[in-house]
Amino acid sequence: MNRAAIERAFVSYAEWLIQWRWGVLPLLLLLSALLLSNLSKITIDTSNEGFLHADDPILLDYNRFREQFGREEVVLIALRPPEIFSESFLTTLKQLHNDLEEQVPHLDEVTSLVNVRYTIGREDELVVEDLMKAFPNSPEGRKALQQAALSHPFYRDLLISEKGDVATIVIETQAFSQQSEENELEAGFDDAVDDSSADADSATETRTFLTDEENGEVVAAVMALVEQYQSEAFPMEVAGSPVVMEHLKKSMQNDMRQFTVTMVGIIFAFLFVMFRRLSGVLFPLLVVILSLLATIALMGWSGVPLKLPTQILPSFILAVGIGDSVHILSIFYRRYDHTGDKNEAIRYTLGHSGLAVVLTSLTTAAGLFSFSTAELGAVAELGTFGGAGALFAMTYSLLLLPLLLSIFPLKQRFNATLQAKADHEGNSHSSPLDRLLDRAVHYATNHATSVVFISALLFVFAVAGITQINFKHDVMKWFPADEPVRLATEHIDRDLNGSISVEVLINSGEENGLYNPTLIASLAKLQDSLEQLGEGDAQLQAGKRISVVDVLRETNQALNENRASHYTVPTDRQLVAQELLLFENSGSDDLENMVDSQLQTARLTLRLPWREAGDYTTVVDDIQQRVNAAFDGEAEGRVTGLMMIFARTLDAMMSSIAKSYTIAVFVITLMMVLLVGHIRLGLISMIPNLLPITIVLGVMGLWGLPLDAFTMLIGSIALGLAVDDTVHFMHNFQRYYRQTGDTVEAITHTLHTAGRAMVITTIVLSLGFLIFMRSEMNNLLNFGGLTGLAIVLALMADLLLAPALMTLIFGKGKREVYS
Amino acid sequence: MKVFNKSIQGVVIITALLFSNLSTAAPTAREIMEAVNARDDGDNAIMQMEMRLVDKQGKQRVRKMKRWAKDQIDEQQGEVSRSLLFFLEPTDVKNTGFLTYDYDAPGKDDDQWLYLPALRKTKRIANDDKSGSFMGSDFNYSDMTDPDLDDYSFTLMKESEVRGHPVWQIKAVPKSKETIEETGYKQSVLFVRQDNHVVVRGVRWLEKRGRLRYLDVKKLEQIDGIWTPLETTMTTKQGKKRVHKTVIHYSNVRYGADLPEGMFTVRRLEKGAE
Repeated sequence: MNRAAIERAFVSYAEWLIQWRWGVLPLLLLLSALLLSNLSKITIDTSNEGFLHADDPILLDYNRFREQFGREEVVLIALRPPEIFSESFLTTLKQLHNDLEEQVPHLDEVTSLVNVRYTIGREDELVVEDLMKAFPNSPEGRKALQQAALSHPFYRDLLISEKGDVATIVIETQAFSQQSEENELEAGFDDAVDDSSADADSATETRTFLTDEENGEVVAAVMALVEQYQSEAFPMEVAGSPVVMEHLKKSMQNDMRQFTVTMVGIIFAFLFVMFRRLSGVLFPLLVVILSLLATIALMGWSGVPLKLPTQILPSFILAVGIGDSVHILSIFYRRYDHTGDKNEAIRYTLGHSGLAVVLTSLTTAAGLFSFSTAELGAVAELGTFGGAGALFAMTYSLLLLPLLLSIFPLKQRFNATLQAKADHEGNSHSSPLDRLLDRAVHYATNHATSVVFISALLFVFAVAGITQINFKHDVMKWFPADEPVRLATEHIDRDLNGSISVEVLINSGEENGLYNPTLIASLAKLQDSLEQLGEGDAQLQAGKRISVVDVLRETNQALNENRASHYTVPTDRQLVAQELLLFENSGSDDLENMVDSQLQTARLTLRLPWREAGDYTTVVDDIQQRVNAAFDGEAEGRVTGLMMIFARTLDAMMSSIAKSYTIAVFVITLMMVLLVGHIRLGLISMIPNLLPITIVLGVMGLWGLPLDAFTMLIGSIALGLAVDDTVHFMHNFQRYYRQTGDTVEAITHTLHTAGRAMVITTIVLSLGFLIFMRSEMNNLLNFGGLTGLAIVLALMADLLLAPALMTLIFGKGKREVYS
Repeated sequence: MKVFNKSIQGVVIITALLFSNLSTAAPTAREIMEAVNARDDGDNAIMQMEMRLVDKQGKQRVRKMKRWAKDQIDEQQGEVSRSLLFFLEPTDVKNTGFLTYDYDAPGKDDDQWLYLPALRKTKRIANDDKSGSFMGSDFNYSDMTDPDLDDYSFTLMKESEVRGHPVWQIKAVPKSKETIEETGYKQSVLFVRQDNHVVVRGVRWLEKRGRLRYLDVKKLEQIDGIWTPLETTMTTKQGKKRVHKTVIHYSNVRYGADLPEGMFTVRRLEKGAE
């Protein structure tokens, strides 16, 4: 790479920019304004399936399921009264139930002991009604209710715990969004269009699933009622994935707001300390805030919502973007104070740092873009838009910042003491920072071998740690241990054996195939056998299992004088068909939640306790195998449900990480080689880049911190940032080595120019990530702390290891200038 | 101009007031509904029904039934509508039958018996709420019977046209929560044909899930002088999306047959459709 030519090109670019500043600035502002007009379109999506790409096969399966049977994620309210079958509790339960039905929006169904289906045969009569249709006013009535509630197998683990001490209310919400859907009375009739085409239309039309906002309305309404009803005598807990989702969203919005403000504050303070100029504070802030807004606007424009992983974008872009401005301004102010010629200082600065700014931005962007092909959709989006953000920051730093410097009047500072000690580039050697840097140079160049040896040792330890690393995806563990929704989930899992669901769809392959008594018998057997799932550590106890089998058993028992021996499925095809017809006609619409309208596919729902997704992978395999074995070819079973989404997320994460780390290392190495102009030197310069990441991953392995959807980002992001320091180091080192031919002097010079900016940007950057440790969410805490550590290590590597390596390669003494 | 406009408006209003006072022909919503209930819909009827159930993917299931119905004034119980219904298809449910006594007298619950041929057993079904699905369709039992007019307040919304016939649009709002729970509907808008008092369309707001049901009589013919719907659809919608649809075709409709009392007994029910 012809460095001199590139530097000249940047100087001419600066000249051109200054000359046309009154044309370029309005144009830039106009384009920015156009882009920023998309800001209002941004939306938030914290759904569990939001992690996956919209066209992920597992997600498409899940969506088809939701189209047919509705949303399977339910809100669960657990009630722990002193005595369930007391008049006061039953009265409150009924009231709360009614209030929920009336006040919760987007509701599909509220189920509790109040209204659960109660099928019973009395003499020649068949009764299908709500369990508490007649409110039990007498003690005998309550005794009878207790008897009915506790003996009915269907209610156990669903609406009442086995011990009879916990009652639940299950709230099902609608699967689809009702936004932008309104009704004109007469428009509802479809006689304008031909019937068959209307059928086809509605089949292909895609609908939006319930939005985060609507989910939030549901949770808020439930919470308000729980607040109103709960007392010390009557403790209540709320769990279920819709509630988890809402909590994640709340904490995400909180964190994002707080961290963005804190980050702006940190940047403000550092810029002030560093430059002590109004322009030195306001211009870079304008640059990074515009970059941030442009990125968010780009997301809004392309219709990509903010998701859990993308919540780190604001702090990230602010931290990354500021580096460019700091490098530019630190050179500019020194030069300007020294010469007093503003436009000359701009040309000089861009010539000096333009290439480094472009390269550091490109490497950062490459680190992020390496995720853009990730199988994990949300991470791919973070990669794409994070990379775009880095490029926005570069563009604004190279366009807007010089324009602002050139247009606004700046005061030249004439500092006598500084001037006296500074060299021709305005570098001083007197501050504590400078003395620290001097010591680094001294140590690294004099003990080069031991620095490299210690680094190698650390590397070996780190690799040993990496072998211990685990992949995990467990949204619940992100919450602090005392978070109500986490506690509620743990309690419900304990008392009722499960709060999230797996769905198995059993497809008979033909219309009315569910009339087949053999198939129904197999389904019943399967349902009963799925009690223990998985193996070894991943083994878990399944909770409630629901299918059409329950309906058939109940109806059969009721038709046979309530004899418990008839709690079985019919063995006669006609009887299966007739019992189902009877049930359909009995006033209950529960059947539509259990079978499809063709009576071809049956749904088997299993409630399972909340676990880490890795356990679910084993469980899902186990279920799938048992389903295959159960039907022996007479029906095909497919597993879906939220648990599949979790398992798939983990799976996608694991394949994403290997891919994107490889891409990031490859692309960034290539860039380093191009920058340095030598293959061997380029490869060696990657050592100080890779070591910090290796150490951080090793630390994770040794401390048992898992790789999850957040910590998996550390590698590529830290690499993209760490490489910035190395780019600046190598860029300046080669420059000064060419001038002086003396390794130690070149290193000293490098650290006194770029080194200072490196230290400052490292402080800002690491703080930018370390503030995530203030989040109460464990995922952000780990992510922030570890990335911050990686960035600090990267600086140390560039202050110690990189000089040591250069000393070993080029020797200590003065040499002929290399070309 | 303004003054002129105002005076024209005044003349129009006064004329309208005069005419509305003079004409006794314009009925109230309640009167219209009384006419609807009083309409002769055949006291003795035999018919075949073909019910097509269409799900949201457009997949269909067909059920065929035969139905006998008789309206009678009983000395003790007032008007009673008795009906006997057998499934003919699908074959797995053939001869499954329902015998229903629907009492007009307020407060008296309907009687229903069910016969399951596979079990050779008849069971009385205790169910006083009419919000449950009629034979697994989008129609519920309240859709199949005349409403008790005292349970609703009716308002005449406007007059419009359905398939070229002038109709009254009448809004029916249940007076009590019990009625809502019993019928499953929060309110309805009915489109009543002005010439023959047949409800040819209806929009009904389901109590649950924010769904709407659209009733549409697509084919209406006079048989033996009685206006008879031959094709009726009921579409359940959530927002603009169809959740489910039922199409009922009536055929071989005969009125005035002399149906004996013995037709509507449990013994007859257990004999099947012949």
